Amino acid sequence: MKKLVIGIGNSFRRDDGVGLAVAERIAALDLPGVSVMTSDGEPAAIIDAWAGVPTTVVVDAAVGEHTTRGQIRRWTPDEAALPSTTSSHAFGLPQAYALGQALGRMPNRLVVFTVDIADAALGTGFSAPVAASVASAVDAVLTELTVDAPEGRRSRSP
Amino acid sequence: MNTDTRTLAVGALTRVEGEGALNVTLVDGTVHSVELNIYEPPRFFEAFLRGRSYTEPPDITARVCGICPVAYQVSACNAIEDACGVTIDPELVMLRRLLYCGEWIHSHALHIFLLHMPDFLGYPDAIEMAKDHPELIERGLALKKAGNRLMEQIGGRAIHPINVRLGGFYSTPTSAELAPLAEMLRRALDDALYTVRKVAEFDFPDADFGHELLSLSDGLSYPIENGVIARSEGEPFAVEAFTSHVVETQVPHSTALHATLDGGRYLTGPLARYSLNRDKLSATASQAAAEAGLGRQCRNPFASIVVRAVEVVYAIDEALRIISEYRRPVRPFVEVHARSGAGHGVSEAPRGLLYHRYEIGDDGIIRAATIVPPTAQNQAAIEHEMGQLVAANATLDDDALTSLCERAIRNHDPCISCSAHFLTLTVERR
Repeated sequence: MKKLVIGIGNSFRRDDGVGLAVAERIAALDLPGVSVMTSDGEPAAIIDAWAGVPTTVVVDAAVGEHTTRGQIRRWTPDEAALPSTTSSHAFGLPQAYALGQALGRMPNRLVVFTVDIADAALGTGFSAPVAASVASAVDAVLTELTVDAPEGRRSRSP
Repeated sequence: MNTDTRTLAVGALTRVEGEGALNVTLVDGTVHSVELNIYEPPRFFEAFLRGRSYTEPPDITARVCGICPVAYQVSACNAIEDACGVTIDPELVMLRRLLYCGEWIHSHALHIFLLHMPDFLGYPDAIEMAKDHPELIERGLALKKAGNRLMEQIGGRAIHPINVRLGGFYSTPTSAELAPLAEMLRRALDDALYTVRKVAEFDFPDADFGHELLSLSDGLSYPIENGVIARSEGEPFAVEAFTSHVVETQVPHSTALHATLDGGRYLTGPLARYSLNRDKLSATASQAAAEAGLGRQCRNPFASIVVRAVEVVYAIDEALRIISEYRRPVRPFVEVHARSGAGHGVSEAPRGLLYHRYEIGDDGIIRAATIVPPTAQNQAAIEHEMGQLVAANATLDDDALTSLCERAIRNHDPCISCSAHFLTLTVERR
């Protein structure tokens, strides 16, 4: 596996499912050399999946102050901090990233896309701005998958 | 008269499953009240099971918990099969036990390494601990993964397994499909034995809070998927008599019901299970327990991390035994036809005894449901322990006292989400 897409979220918490929806659309394309997984944000499984993978693209929902519902944001580990993504449990992408770094189990290249959300209430279906962002998020992931990863950086196989 | 009033407040109790709070009031250095506040909203599982088909509780109640869904599935199956007068084939019972071993391994590894161990090594969380002790976290993750793999193979997936049904399973694995699991489990056993030796080196405060202990016992093997109900101070009783002995009551400060055993405080979980079933451990687990210094009983909640580590050894050893003796069952499930009546079911969730009761109509519709999870049963014992610990350590400053209470609560690996079907800490001194 050279490239991995991880969609994180909970499809029963409304807009929190956006990462899963994007991942499912990528999976449906059945791209050669690209694996897709969905996750509830549990760090161990995420670390296990991305360790040593040349390129990993993660899609998750994000909440916070000064957010705009449906806004897609791109993050890389070189930036100051990963965003506060949502999780129905206490664990999520930031913990997976911190634990993966502490253990030296990271992909060679990690790109995170977040979609700003505001509604993570119980239920299915997205708000209109988040639903409208899915296609753009898929395009953004596909574009990242065309970029080759640098060789042998930051990775240690499990 | 002047009174000394001090108030401690912690934003949220960490490294527990769910949301809750602990409020302690001290008047002139004496503990006035201790309240474990479970404020996570009530989830009404028992209410919305009413009116559903008798076939649905194994899938619906699994959603009570993402950590121990198998416990809910197995207790639900046991209860409904009891109501319908069905006994399932021994080979299917063993497959349930194998699935349940996976849940014990996964849940205990999560608590030992990621939630509990930072307390003993002086770290605020597992991520900080991983920076200095990556090898320990790696072992924990490897063990957790082994448990998850077992659940995926038997249950279809690790969280909320989809292959469990009344009477057995939708499909059963072949021996060839289980063979790779045995190889993985043999490596995991080495990690588990190392874990027992490692946690046995930790310093444990002396503590025995005198709770009565309650656990299943099946007479032949360490209790997991079924059994009769054993207790430390009385005769064992059948599952049908559970609600005659265990009475749940509402308390104003918690959305989870409190439980008493014949009117008294009691504890369920690893300490009870081990203390009442020590002689049922496998030879490998028994040897590990002895080398770790565990006696015939262990009543010190701070040492529960050692008991959990021994139980991981047992669960792996037991899984290997089941796989080595496995022959694919002649049928994946036994038909369970609805009949009017009531049924009771129990099993040993990683956190303790889990009881289900259902009343079913002759149309197969559930008329009543009762679920008594282990953390709800342990609330009174945890409150009692907090009162004793605060009283004995009232001279500690607020930060140290708060830290001690949080640590003592984590000893019990409370699953607040289950109990509310919980923690913010406030200590008031006045």
